[in-house]
Amino acid sequence: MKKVALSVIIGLGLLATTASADADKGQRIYQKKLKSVCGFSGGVFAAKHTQDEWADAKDNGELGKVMTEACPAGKDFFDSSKFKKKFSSHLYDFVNDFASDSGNIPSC
Amino acid sequence: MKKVFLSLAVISGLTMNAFADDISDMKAQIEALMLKIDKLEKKQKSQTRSISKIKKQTSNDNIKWDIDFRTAYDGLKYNRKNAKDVTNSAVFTNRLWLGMAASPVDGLVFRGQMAVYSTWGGNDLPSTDPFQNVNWRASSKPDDVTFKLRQAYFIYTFNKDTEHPISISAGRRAASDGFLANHREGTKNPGSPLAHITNMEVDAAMLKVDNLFGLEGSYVKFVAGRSYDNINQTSYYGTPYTSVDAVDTDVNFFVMPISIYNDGQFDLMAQYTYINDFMGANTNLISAMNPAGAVTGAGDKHMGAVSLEVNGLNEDNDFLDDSTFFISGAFTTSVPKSGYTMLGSDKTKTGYSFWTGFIMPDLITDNGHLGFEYNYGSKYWAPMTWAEDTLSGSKIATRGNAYEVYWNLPIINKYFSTQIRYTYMDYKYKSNIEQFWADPELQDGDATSAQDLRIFLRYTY
Repeated sequence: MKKVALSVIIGLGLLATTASADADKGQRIYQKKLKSVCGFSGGVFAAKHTQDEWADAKDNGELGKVMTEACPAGKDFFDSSKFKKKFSSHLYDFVNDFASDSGNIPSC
Repeated sequence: MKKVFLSLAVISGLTMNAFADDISDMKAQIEALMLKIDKLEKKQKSQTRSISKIKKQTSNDNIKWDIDFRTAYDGLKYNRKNAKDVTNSAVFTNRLWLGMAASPVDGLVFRGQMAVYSTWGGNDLPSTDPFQNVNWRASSKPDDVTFKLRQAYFIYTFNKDTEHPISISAGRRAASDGFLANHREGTKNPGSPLAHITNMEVDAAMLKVDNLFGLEGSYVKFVAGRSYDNINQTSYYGTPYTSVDAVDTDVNFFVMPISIYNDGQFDLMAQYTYINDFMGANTNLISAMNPAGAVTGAGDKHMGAVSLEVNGLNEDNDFLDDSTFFISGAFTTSVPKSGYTMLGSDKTKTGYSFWTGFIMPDLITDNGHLGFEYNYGSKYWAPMTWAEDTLSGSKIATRGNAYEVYWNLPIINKYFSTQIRYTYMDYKYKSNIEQFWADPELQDGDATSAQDLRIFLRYTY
């Protein structure tokens, strides 16, 4: 039994994909870093643009700029190197999930 | 020599003229192309606007479906007092949640969820356990392949632009993914009930007020509902949907979950619960069909809990930033009426519990997390965790010590994941959650410990 469990654990570990962005993590980052600064919920922030508009901003390397336009008070955060290196991909996944045309409904 | 220069001058003149004509043609062509590009850009912008408009309308004007399908293996072992151990080396289950949501206008949301939770192959559970399919856990315990209603409720939010938005809601909710239980269930976002004292499927109405204390992320919910209606008259008797019982023993409850503070890192929650006419035992009602003499209207129950979660322990350290720590304390008090017992006593009894956990990156994979949890429950600790998804019985309700370790591992992003979980419960008092025992002390044949090894694969979309 122990051998089977160990094999399953190793097998599943090998199956796991490499690091990827995480919308839930993005939501938590918004709550921690931006909610009080911006003065509105993450759902309102994400709904400032459509999915295509967020995607264009990301592709053009202008995610920080577009996010600053959506929440001017968060400029320092969006200009920080931590945003670019650590937070932007998770935040992008979050805003993409709850963009104005996503059809997704933030939980109450 | 002069002739040569003349010839060159003539050729140059002719060539320049030809070039000038070509440049002029090219200019005209470029101008025409630019006009076309301008027109195309305008057309594209217009089409993009139309597509966005259609997308908004179609996405927001329909039911949005989601799927959560899990197939699991459980291995169970129970040690018993002065009796042989009981084991089941393999129980396989399928669990399907078919979720739906719609928000046709701003501020009005409907959510629903149909659920099937079944064992592989048939079973005899409903014929031996009268509580197997009760509303409180109908879709939370594995049984057959029948679809059951797990959730269906609306939320209407008004005062949205004020400091204190208010929401009202009514219907059926699965209060079984509560705060702190989400880690062991491999679910990222918890529901609002505190899982330390509540893990039930409930039918209730709710009023929520945001920013009540002026603290970040604060809110309070007032929830009132019914967990049992003693209707036992059918149309056969001529007075359908009434009761033949002399005393009305409907079981009603009031729950007040409070988010005291939540800045995304520190999440402090509390909850008070009152249950009126709760279940207990009446020795005059003991029969072959009801060996415990279980009955509603035996007395009242009060419960309370305070839970704190720290999500991200140190931002400057990736390992600690991705780690979570939580701690929770709770009590349950049973107040039996004259002639009844609750938890084997005819007196008011209070039980206490402590729960802590630490979830950290697994250091092997990129997104996997390891979790470690410990629970303690005293002699009269009796939370409402009937719907907790632990096949070997509620871990939270353990009167004794419970230890748990789990590995949550995304395989393909958020869509396909797995969990391996091992739970060990060391019982100092009765292990079962139904709470109708005559004596809380362990008797011969009672389980003294339980172990549950679970491995699941889960698809969510």
